[in-house]
Amino acid sequence: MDESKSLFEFHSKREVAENFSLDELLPFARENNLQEWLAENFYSFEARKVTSAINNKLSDAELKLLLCKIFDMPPENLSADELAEISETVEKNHRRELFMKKSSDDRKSAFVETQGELVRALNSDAKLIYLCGGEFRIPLERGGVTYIGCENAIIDLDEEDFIDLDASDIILEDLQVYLRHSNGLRADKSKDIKILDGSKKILGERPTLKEIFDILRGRKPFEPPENFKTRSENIRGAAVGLTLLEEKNYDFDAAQFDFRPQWDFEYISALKNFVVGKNFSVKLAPQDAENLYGNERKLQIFADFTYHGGKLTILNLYFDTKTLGRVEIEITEKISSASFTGSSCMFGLGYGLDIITAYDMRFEHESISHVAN
Amino acid sequence: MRAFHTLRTKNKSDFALADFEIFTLILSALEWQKHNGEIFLYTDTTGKNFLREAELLDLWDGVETSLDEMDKLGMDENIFWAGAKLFALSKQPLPCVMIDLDFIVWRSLNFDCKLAVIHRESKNLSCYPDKNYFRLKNFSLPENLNWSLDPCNAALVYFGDKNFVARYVEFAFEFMRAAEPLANQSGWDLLPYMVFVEQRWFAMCAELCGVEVQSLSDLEELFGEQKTFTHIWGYKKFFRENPATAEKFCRDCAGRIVHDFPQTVEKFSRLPLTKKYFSFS
Repeated sequence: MDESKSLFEFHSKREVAENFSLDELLPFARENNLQEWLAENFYSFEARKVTSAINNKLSDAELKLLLCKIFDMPPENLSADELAEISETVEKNHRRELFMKKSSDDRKSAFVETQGELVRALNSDAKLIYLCGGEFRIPLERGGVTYIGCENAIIDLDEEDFIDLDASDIILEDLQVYLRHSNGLRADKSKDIKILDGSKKILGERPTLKEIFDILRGRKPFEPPENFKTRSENIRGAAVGLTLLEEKNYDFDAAQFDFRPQWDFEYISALKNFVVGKNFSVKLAPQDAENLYGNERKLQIFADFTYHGGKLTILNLYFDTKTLGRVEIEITEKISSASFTGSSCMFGLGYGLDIITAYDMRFEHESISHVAN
Repeated sequence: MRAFHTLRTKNKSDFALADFEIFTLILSALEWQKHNGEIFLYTDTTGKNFLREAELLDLWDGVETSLDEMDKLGMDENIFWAGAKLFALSKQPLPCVMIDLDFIVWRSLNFDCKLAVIHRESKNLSCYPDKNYFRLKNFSLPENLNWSLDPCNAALVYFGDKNFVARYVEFAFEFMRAAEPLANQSGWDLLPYMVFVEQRWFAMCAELCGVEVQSLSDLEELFGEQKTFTHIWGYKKFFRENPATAEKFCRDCAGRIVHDFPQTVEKFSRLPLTKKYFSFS
């Protein structure tokens, strides 16, 4: 900032806009100098708006937007970052106006799009909170709050005990609710909520989780390979991870929903060679994608296992959805001719590399014969 | 026993092989000659020029550039990257062994059968979908194909039956010319096309020709304690992403060359692509 420049040298909004950047005006606003200047130059309404914005603890981005409007800042005077920041704030304000309903509810309200904003809203004692678009964790110990969802917002409840929202006077509206545990939920006062069951560890009755984890330990030393193979191939529908669908990751032209899995580390030994460096997606027509996103945004990933190359590994990955039934997950990776010699190579890197340094082979002159039947 | 390698560059002007690929093909060729017999290379003009400049042409008992003809075949080599192997196969006198450049055989092999592959794959893997997966233009898959057969990995294959080879190759090229995946498919979506024609059709064709396919080994043995076969396979990608490990691999290969083929050390110690790995001081 040019220290020799004083705000009070100027007397019109145009002059201020030409001589100061938004970053230079912000501290004036926070120190009340800008409000004084506005009042002295007969811009009383604008002075009150800035004072109100400071008192309501608006963010820097929102203050900058207000100053842009007050001083008619030409967009070409803004940096690319400032333009992006202000555009985002404008869009957020539009969403807020679109979704926050006018009502007789005089409780303090807030419109939040991230968990951080939710925390700030709760700390400011908001009682009517609009959750927009994202995934949220709400404090079950903070009663008397109504959460209204918009843009397919979802709440993740990771409470192992019975959840009684009614007793805490927590009300949910228009939300997807993902329950990580199956111990029950009471939410009679809530409305238009979609309960998503994220508690399944395995589809079907057998094998049990205990049996699966026993198989994951590998073939027992005295166990015939055929027996281990059979045990491995009996694992069907094990919950190996979960994911949250984001609408921005839907590719309309490819009719494909990309997603990032969160893997369950119980299965890491079987997963590690299979999932590293891969992209995951499901092929869904736009209508199906919209339905799934609108009804079941958070999904468990299920796997069928198989036995290959002496190891337990993944055969298939899929979602088990209420909306569309079983949806196969596709694994994509660019494959070049240099990476593969014609096989899938899904189960390991290569074999026999240790032979290269095994100079003391005792059977160099032994040949291998294959005899036809 | 005659064997052949295939190197397809598609005549790209910027073609190159990584150091670890150079060492693998050196050992593949030399060890085959040591234990089993002659080995020939089928490549294209760019591949031959590359190897000539690298002074490696004399590794093989002969080098052919018949893969230049592949440009006119009307198949997408981005989908069928191993199609060159099958084209080279069509040029071979029988019996012969088809061996990948990153595959090394450390012992003598005798074949008293008509067809042998290194190992079978499990048909239940997701890269082997059923017939409805394939989009083919003006071509239908025959009704008499047996989809219950396990596919055959083709990193090393012994061919001893002319009827089988003729039928295998003819259908393979019809399929490859007819393949028409969706435009947005790539990577894993396309893999089923290649492995169908190379591996799955192999097993189906053998059954239709009435020829049994012997497996030289299985994956459990290959990834276990065996001392006969080396297949770099997925390590190629690993080596590209881990240069230090690739360098150690090259030094290990150089050490093996010194041990098994001391008469070649003077040459490899001089060649631009290999010399730095032969400085053992």
